[in-house]
Amino acid sequence: MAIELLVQGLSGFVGLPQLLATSFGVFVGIVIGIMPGLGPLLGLTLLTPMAMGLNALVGMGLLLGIFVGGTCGGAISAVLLRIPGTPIAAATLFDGYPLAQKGQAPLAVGLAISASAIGGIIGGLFLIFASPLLAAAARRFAPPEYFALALTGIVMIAIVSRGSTLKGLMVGLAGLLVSTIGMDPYVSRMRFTFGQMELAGGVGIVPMVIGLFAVSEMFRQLEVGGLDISPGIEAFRAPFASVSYAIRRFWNLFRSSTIGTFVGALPGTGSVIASFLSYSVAKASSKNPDEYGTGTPDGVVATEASNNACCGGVLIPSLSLAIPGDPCSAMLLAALMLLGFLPGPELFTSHPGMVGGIFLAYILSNIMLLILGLLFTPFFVSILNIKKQWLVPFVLLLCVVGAYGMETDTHDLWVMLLFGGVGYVLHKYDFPVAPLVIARVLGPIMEDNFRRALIMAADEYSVFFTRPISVVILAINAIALAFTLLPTSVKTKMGLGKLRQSRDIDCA
Amino acid sequence: MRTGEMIVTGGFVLVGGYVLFEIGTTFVALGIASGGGRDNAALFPGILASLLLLVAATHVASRLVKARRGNGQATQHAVVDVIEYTRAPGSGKLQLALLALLVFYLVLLEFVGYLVTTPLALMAMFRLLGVRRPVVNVVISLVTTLLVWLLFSELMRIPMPPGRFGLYL
Repeated sequence: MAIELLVQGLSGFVGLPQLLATSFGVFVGIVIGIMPGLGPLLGLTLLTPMAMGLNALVGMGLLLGIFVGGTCGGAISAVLLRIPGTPIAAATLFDGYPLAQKGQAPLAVGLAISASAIGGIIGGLFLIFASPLLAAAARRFAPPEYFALALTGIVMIAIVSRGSTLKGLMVGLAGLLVSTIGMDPYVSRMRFTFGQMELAGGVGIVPMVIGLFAVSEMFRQLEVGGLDISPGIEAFRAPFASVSYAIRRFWNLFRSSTIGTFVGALPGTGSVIASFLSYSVAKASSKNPDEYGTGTPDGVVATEASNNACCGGVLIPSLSLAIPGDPCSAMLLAALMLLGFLPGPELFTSHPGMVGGIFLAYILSNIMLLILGLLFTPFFVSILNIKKQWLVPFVLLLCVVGAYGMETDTHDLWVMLLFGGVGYVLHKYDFPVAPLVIARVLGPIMEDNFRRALIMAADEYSVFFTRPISVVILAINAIALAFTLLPTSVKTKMGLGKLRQSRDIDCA
Repeated sequence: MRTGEMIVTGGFVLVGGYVLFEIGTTFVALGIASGGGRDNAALFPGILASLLLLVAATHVASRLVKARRGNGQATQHAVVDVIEYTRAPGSGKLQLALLALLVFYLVLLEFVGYLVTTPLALMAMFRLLGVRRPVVNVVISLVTTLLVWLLFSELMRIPMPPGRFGLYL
């Protein structure tokens, strides 16, 4: 089935507009990913209005390019400044920065780009062959199962987010409540709109995400200071030989990509966890583990291959089940829905050309990442020298234009500003922001399937607990939550030790 | 529990409380707060709001218990802790000033439109953030305004706010 999808996608995808859009997306993604504090999610939200004005496949190619490019871009600032452009690249600085300090900055950057691209392609191959199988299995799913899966997305992102699981749950529940604002789909009555007609369609996801991540981040950058400081890094070329250098470490590359893909396929995990896990495995498997942390190329290969392969991994449940694995895939799903395509098993049967086109766009994105990344390294390095006093107003302008551009409604600008404040406050007091985004995207899916499940079962709530797949998924959620919420003393008595939680894994 | 954290948790309690209040008043009056999956518009938000209040209460309780045991602030071990910084002096005032500027820009945008307000807003923001060269400031502001307009409005056909006077290029 995978090959059929690719063949059907080929006719729609091959063409100059697709190539240009995907290349542009990768280029912009790398630029955005390089700059500390920004990230692929910002690029996705700012350029979603642009994608809406294009042919569907061309638009998705643009957005996938940003996703792939942005995921890799953070490695460049991690290697050169010891500041990852995004949290995704945090593990890369363990060996990337020391390698650069040894005078091998071009190799370190080239290796990061090469490993990212090759890892992304390996992740893409998993995506192409695994997602049709998952979609086929999901055709047996009914509303109770879809509700349970959507709940999994919320629960998992709450468990792994920064702060505590309880904070993650509060934010997730609030996000689900935000998704209920607007016209009720069943009784055609307004809910929680404060009498404002502009809220009839609900809170716009694009202005909301722009505010939560981009606007709040610009205000956080003011806290960091150094607005008129430029690092003064000299531009250099990354050697194309870094590709063969990465390929010579094929087993590390393949293992890390596989870990990244599988971690990405689990809802709520994401690239940060994938890269740290791969790094740990690579170090443990190495004949010279003491070299890790001192600038070994294998460390850079492990983290970068994994975090870009994760991009392919998160697309597996996103396309097959409409369950986003992280905020970036949530935005991609939102864009797909805005373009008129509903993700899930039906997408594979009703629009196989679209699915095949997305697969091809993803693979092309990684190929262009390799070519453009290595070719334009001097330009990307020089981007790091832009002072924040120029960057912050420019990004805020893009936020305004991006938020307005979706519905050409100035009301969305105030939504953006409001959620900018919300994002700033949440981050300041150690509440995660990612669950809010995922909940806003999953909320309508959850409610729709919840109510349809009740309708089909004559309002018997037992429908969620009598269907085997639904009850297994709900049980997994309950066990995961219970385990995370158990007091440390109880876990210690049970011999389970202290559970470490990761920071905010949103890819902004 | 820090004051800010308490306020944010209080905010969630308010949200949950407001939803339940709306359900108990407006939804009941409209007759959409009862029934099953098809007719009950209050069902899903009601469950969510109740869970939100429960989780918030649990969070507050757990913090109080930890404080009483003398654990102080709960420590969350971060796997990623690389972007840490100390707050730059004067950044609070700078943030407030930028926020005021942004609000002013959005208000003006609706009335006067993108082409007039944006270069002025950019100039003001650059000046606020420390750009001291007026000629460079003006040139960059104008060029940025035009480039963004070209990219979005002309290439992508995404119109910019024209304002009440319909100012287009």
